[in-house]
Amino acid sequence: MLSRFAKKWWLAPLVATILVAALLAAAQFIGMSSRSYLPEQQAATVRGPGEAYQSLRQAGLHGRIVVILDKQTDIVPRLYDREFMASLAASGTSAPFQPLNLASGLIETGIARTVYFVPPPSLRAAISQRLGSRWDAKTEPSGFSVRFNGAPVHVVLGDLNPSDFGEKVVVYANRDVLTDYDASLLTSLESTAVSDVLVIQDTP
Amino acid sequence: MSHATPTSTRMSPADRGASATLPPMFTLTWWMPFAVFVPAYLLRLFSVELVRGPVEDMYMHVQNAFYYPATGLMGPDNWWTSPAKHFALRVAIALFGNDIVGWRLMSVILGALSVVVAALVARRLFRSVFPALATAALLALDPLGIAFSRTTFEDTTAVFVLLVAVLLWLRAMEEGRALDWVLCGVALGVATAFRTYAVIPLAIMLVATSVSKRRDDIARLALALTSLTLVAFCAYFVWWLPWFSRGYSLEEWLTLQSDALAVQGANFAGFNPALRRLVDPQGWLFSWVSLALHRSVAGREVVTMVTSDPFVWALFLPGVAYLLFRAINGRRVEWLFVGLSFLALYGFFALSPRPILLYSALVIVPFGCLALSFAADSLPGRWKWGLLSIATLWGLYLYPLAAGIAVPLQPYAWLLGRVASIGLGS
Repeated sequence: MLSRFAKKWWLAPLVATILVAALLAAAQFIGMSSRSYLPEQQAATVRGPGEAYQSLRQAGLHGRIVVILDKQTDIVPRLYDREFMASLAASGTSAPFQPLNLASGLIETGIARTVYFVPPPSLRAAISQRLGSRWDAKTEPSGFSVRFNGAPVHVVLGDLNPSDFGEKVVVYANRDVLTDYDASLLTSLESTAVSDVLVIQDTP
Repeated sequence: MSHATPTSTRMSPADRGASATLPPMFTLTWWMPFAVFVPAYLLRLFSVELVRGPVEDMYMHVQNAFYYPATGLMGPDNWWTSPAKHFALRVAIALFGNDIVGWRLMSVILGALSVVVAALVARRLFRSVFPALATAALLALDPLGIAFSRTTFEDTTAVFVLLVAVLLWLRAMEEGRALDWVLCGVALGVATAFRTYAVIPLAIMLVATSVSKRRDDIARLALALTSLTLVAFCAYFVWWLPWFSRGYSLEEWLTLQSDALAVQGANFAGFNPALRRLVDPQGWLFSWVSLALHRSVAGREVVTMVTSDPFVWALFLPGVAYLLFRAINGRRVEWLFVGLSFLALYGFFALSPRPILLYSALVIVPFGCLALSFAADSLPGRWKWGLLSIATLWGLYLYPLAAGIAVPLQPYAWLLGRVASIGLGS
């Protein structure tokens, strides 16, 4: 059979091109069909990141863009700290192995595929300085991006245009710092056209 | 294929054989691969569970072997590395057990098989028994190869698959079988899915094939080039499908590839500040690759060292220079491929700003050994066997270091004083 095929070697590029196209289409299909959205916008008030994580998990979300409006500056875990590596060795093999913060927990469990962290304007300079010295931080027009376990974490230090997402996003915001942001940004993120999940952290 | 002419008696064995069929005594028999495999395997297997030191990333490798196939999560292992290793280690754990021996056994087996495949490559390339034997001996005792064959690092697997690809390519170039071309493309794609640096020999192979087969039937050339590009791409891409199951699109995959490439070429000094103390990687261009990690354990200084063979390493560049000279003179594209692969890989790693060259250097060694074995074969009989004997004795002397066996410092003090060292505290 192979020798019969060998006589038609000129078909090889065609067959291989079809194979490549099929593989790429399959990958794209797997990616798109792995995303889950809510039919209607839901809003929830939580007392902390742990409760927010549980709330998003129970909603059955997967493969989403998550926008975080908060003041925490360790949004990207420092993966290579020795203590952290030692904790990995001791933690066994069940995911999530180390819920360092909300972003890493959401990425590890597959709820978030991409995170946009938007710090309040008052913290931008400090965060910019910290990320500017990171060896793996990539400079972007609106700030920096780093990857955690392969997932992009964009740290937005400039303007965020919600219409650029191209899909509905999950918004997590800390009420303590909301007054620091531009009101038009909050209004657009609350829009049902932009987000299908709104989680507000309300410190008790 | 033409037969040897009477004038060929003045040529080296490699040249004689290059244009003639092999004499019966050099024909491969069933026991020869076993004879090469068994000592290489035993050298790698002995006390394989011994080293549990800080040079190992095995805990995160093992965690990802479970996570990635099931969830597509790229961490806690380095996200910028390719994902085929997670599947390979998962299969190894299923076959050999979920403990330190089981995690490392795949590397032990594939590391030993690499020696066999490299010997077969040498035999096919140079058509002489000495280069095959010398390549097998040098690689079987190579301290870098032994050290990494006792870890869960994916480089051992990447090198094995790459050598299989080279063997298939040589056979395809010579015999033109369709299946060899397709399998060669698959092997190259898989090797790249283990370590991105495999794309360098792939590119050289692509150019070499295009040049040497340009006058062939267009359909045959199309098959060859399709195998080395589209088939190889498929074999590379398929390992990423679990990552797509996290909701990613093709556009996001391309960004990931670009980011991973940028990180792999970046200066890794930020990875661990202690690495800043290492010598500049360019220093390794003419020196051998080594690293010693000093720790204090219960009041005693413990040194964990990974090193290549200084004696053999020093002979690599002259060997490659000689091989390239002969390749250009004799218009031997396969020999040119070996020399250029060595130089391209070596140059790429030596000139990149990242200071970690240890595991990357593993892929250079087989190409260097092939060139060195070929060059040694051109020496008069007594000299070449003498050189091989010295290299073998030298390899045996270094073996305890490669295997992580605790040894008195005195016989190796001179070596320790010359390797790149970093302290890890207690």
